[in-house]
Amino acid sequence: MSVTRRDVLRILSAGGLVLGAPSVLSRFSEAADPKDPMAPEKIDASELTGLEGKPAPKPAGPPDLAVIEGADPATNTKAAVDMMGGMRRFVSKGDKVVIKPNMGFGNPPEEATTTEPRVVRALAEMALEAGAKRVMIFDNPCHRADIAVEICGMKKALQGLDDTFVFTIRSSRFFREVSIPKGKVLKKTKIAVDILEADTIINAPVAKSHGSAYVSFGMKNWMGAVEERTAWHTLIDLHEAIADIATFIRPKLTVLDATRVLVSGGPGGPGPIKNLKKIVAGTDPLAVDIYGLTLAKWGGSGYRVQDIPHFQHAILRQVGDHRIERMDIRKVAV
Amino acid sequence: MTLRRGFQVAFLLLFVWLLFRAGWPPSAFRVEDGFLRIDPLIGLQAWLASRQWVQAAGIALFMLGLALILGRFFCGWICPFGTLLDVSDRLWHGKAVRKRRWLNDARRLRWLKTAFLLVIAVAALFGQGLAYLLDPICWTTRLFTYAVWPVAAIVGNLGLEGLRPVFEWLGWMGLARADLSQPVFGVYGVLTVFFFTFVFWLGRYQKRFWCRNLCPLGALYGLFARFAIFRRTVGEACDGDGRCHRVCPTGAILSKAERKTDMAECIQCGDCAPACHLNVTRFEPAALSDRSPSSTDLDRRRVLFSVGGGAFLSAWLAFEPGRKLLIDNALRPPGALPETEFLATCVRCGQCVKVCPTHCLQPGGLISGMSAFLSPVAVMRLGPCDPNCNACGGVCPTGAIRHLELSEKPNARIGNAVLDRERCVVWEQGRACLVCDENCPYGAISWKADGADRRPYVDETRCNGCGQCEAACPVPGSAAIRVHVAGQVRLSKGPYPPLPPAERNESGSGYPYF
Repeated sequence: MSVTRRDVLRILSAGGLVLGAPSVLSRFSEAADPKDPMAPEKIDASELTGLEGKPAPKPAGPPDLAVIEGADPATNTKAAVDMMGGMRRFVSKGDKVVIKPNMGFGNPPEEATTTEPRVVRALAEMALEAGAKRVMIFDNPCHRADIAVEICGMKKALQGLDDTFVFTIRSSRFFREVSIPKGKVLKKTKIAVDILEADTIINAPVAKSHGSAYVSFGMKNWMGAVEERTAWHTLIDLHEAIADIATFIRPKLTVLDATRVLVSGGPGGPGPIKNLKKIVAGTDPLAVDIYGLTLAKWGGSGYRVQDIPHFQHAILRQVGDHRIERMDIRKVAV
Repeated sequence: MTLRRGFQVAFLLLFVWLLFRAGWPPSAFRVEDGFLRIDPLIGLQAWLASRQWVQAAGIALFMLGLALILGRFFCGWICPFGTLLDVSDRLWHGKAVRKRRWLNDARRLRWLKTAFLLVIAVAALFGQGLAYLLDPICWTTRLFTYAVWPVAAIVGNLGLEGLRPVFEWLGWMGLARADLSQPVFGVYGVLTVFFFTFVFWLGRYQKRFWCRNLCPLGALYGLFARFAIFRRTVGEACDGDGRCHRVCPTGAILSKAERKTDMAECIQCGDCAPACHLNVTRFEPAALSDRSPSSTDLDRRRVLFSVGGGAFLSAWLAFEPGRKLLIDNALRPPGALPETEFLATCVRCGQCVKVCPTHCLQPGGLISGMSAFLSPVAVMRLGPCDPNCNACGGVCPTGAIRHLELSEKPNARIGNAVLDRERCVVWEQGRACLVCDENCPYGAISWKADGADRRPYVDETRCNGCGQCEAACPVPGSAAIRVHVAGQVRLSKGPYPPLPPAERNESGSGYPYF
């Protein structure tokens, strides 16, 4: 049998097609599937412009985001929650409610590194009014826990409320290991038992800048409900881990405290502080965080959504809806 | 229970209560170290050794003045160490007293405690503090701090955890989430337990063996108690039956027939009065002529030996080989006096270690030489020195750590943070981490962007050396940013030079930014 030149060429080309096809095809499918976490084309910087003045697409019912500005943080908070449909929308009778403020630093609230205590007190009062069985307010602080919880003013501010407990958790007996189904770098971690056993979770972060995470709003606040977070800086990607934890801890309401914001120098300060006297409330954790970017020139020059890695990862993990320009954002000054 | 037992139990409970409540926030009256503050031995030593008038010396003189009236009342009625000995002596009570002639002889070893006092006094004149080795209040403070407290915290937390379901069921969530801070002192707790076991064991040979033969504080009180106004008297009717002699816990009643009492040994316990079948024993103001000659055999040889020993020990400690390398090798709490003065004044009682809420203060080993043994060192990796806390200076009985106002504390620098770029996860691995910057309360750490990396830098002019960065650094093992003694500011008096005002730069951008 003789093999002609043509035969050889045929065999080689056919073989090449068969062997090469999968890699070529897979490249097509990859292009169709936005798995690249940093894929920039999905997020448009212009989405953040033109926020103002867009008519609300939904005529009735509570808005997507409530932004209240006023002198008294407690009044602002109550107005924001009322606008979101009232606390009864989130808290049913007999609920175990968790409010997770930021109590991470032994600084007075004027330093803008921790949540304004009056905001938390207003939330606790409303939750109790709505029939909460008890309200648990806690953090796993960065600074020495028992000092931080006193200096940040939370313990004092919440005094006198029945069934309301302000505490810090450091010991591993207050955490339980869970698996994070949607986690990419954080498959398993130990989370505060109070979060796991809560009927209603309310996130009450303070809006501030952050050295390694760029900004610290709602999603970043969940680092205070996790026991082991040093590995987030040394073994796994911090930004991905923040997005992972946000897929697992699902607050019914996020109240972003922008009474005063640490524009840069965060999260521990000292840094320039701007008195915004605002409260941002929403049910969508991602929408609240993304709206938070518009509050100040974070880090000095301001950030866009694509500048914040953990926002990017959160969008890809569908933690919430990031298209706030299409949302019903109601701004009221009280 | 006699009145004295009541006092003893009350004072022991008070001692323990004061010690255990010492922490953050400090009490307004600063009485947590009350027992140490009224200890004349450490007060006088601090005065002599540091050549500075200290408040403690005034209280010491007052207490010795009291001894001129009431004798060694402190030993019998107040001293928590003595109360513990009364308890432990009961363990041997009823069992045959061990016979070992030289250990049983009530008068044979009595001179030792005065010799120890002499050694301490001579060392103090040479500027060395040795009282901590034998002072009973220091030892009791250390026992409860280094040995009892860590165990109590373990037991307490186990109890809290065990009862947690009950608390939760009852809705007592405050208790359900309560957590006792867990200190760890390792070998120093063990050391203290060894010491107390040994002293308790000596009780097999003589009741209150420690108080009779070893305690330099008792010896100091004894020097003045010999002239006490309020003393033991025995009526003419005494028949020399000797019951008082048998019952006396310190051998102050020298023999059966002896009606006079060695008031340097008598601890005013009054146990001899009810023991007297003729009821002629009294404790009342009496003439000095009533006293017995001292029963302490402190002859000239022993005095010379003690003085020489004290001088030799202080010389050894002062010229300790390699001391130049060792000195200042440990971080001291903020407000600590300059090192030499600090070591002369510090009595190693451990009160500052107890009060430190972050457990940053630890008993030091031999890191700065033998003369610094057991003095407090700040171990930042265990916990930082919190800027909201000035508790250690508030409870230092001798003023070795100055009591600083919180506004002045930033200026009393402990040291400087030094960044080890080779180990830093940002510098070396490009990771997202600025935990040191996050935690720094003084704005001494800033970052500069290099590409996507935000790299930390230390501004040592603003660093207080508090160690928040070192404590929080996520690098395993020793931190990639550590506090070193270079840059510490320690003054014996006067205000500290202030830190430059926090200029809020890059990661803090010029203030006010807007």
